[in-house]
Amino acid sequence: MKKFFILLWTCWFVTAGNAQFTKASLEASGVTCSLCSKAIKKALEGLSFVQEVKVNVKAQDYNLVFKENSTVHFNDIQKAVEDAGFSIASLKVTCYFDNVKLQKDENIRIGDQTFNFLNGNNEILNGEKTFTIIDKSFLTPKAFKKYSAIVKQNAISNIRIYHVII
Amino acid sequence: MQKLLSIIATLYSLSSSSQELFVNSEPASVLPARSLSIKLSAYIVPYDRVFARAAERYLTEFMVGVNKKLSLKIGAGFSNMHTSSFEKESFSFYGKYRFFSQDDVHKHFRMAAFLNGSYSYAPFHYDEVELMGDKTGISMGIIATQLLNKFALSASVSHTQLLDSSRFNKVVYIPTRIYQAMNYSFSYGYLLFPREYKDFNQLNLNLYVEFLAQQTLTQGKYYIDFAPAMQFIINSNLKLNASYRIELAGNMQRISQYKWLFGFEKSFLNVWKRKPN
Repeated sequence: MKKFFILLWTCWFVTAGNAQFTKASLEASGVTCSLCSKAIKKALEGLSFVQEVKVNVKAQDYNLVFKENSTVHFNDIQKAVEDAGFSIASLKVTCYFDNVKLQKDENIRIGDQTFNFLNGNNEILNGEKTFTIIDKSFLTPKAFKKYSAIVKQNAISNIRIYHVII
Repeated sequence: MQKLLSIIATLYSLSSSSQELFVNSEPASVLPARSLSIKLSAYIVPYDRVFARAAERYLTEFMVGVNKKLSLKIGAGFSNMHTSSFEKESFSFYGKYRFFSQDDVHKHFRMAAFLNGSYSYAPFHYDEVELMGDKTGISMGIIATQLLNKFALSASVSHTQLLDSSRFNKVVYIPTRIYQAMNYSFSYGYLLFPREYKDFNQLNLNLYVEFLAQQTLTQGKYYIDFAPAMQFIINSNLKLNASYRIELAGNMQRISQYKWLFGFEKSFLNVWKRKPN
């Protein structure tokens, strides 16, 4: 029965074929020195889908521009920052949508990743929209606490679903 | 006490980010994964009473960030601290594993465990239980580093066992030799320049204050050293270190109560690619 539900859950998404990630703004945590910051920049630049990384060293903001028609993997971004020795404090992702309708409890597939929008019911997404990933390891532990209950409740599937707020 | 609190408050209020790239001790942070670092250090004793001259030691170390939690280091050195002329002195190994990490914006707390081993060709001199070229042995310990907006504090506790062959000599036992010790360190650092980060090419100047202490497990010998240090960071990847180490208190027979340390360290990030999974 549980398997059936999982199957049902994993099939229960719409594919947003006309959506493409264009850029992201990442705030790193645990960093105060330029040496450390450079390590994060280099690690992000090493990702195959990243075209450019611009850094505001003071604010610890990393502005990523993704390569056109590339498949963006957010867990690779997370691993890159952690490999450099630090963590993500926030990740705001910008995606170009073409007529995608958000519905409650419906997962949206963009590229080969699945997203669950926790707000924005029945909204039709058009053009560039920015949303924030609120899963563990994409927020500071303190910020994640606010969402942990919702994220856990939805994490019954064996496929990776990113929880986002728009 | 009030004075101490006001000093801490003053240091805290300095509008600067602080650093944990300590000169005389290791922080709990490890190298970025898949990065390399090369470090050259010169230890200089201004006057060595035995040889009636300055004594020097030169160490070369290679470090590798194996993954986000583990750093390994190998080193080799030559010196004239225990010999009349410059000779090869030691080989060493150092491994550090970060087992706890909690990050927040502009702050973190980390803990790491380390293991250090050294083989030295130098003759057994003095009371100091040191692995940095002086003696053969192993050391293990724990480091905790807290970075809190404006300043970084780090403390470590470690235990050293010397494995010099004289310790296992059943025929001639030298009772004055010390083979076991506890080591403590307490380090504080802050960034003096730049006052505000703008880019990676700015020259950074870090100031450090470190306390390094040793207590032997036999014979009640100890020292407490004070080591102020400064560090320039060029292009966010080349470090130049200078430190002067002074004994504040102690009853150990040592090569000197004063020691200079000059160092140079360059890091190479993302030297090899992450394996796709």
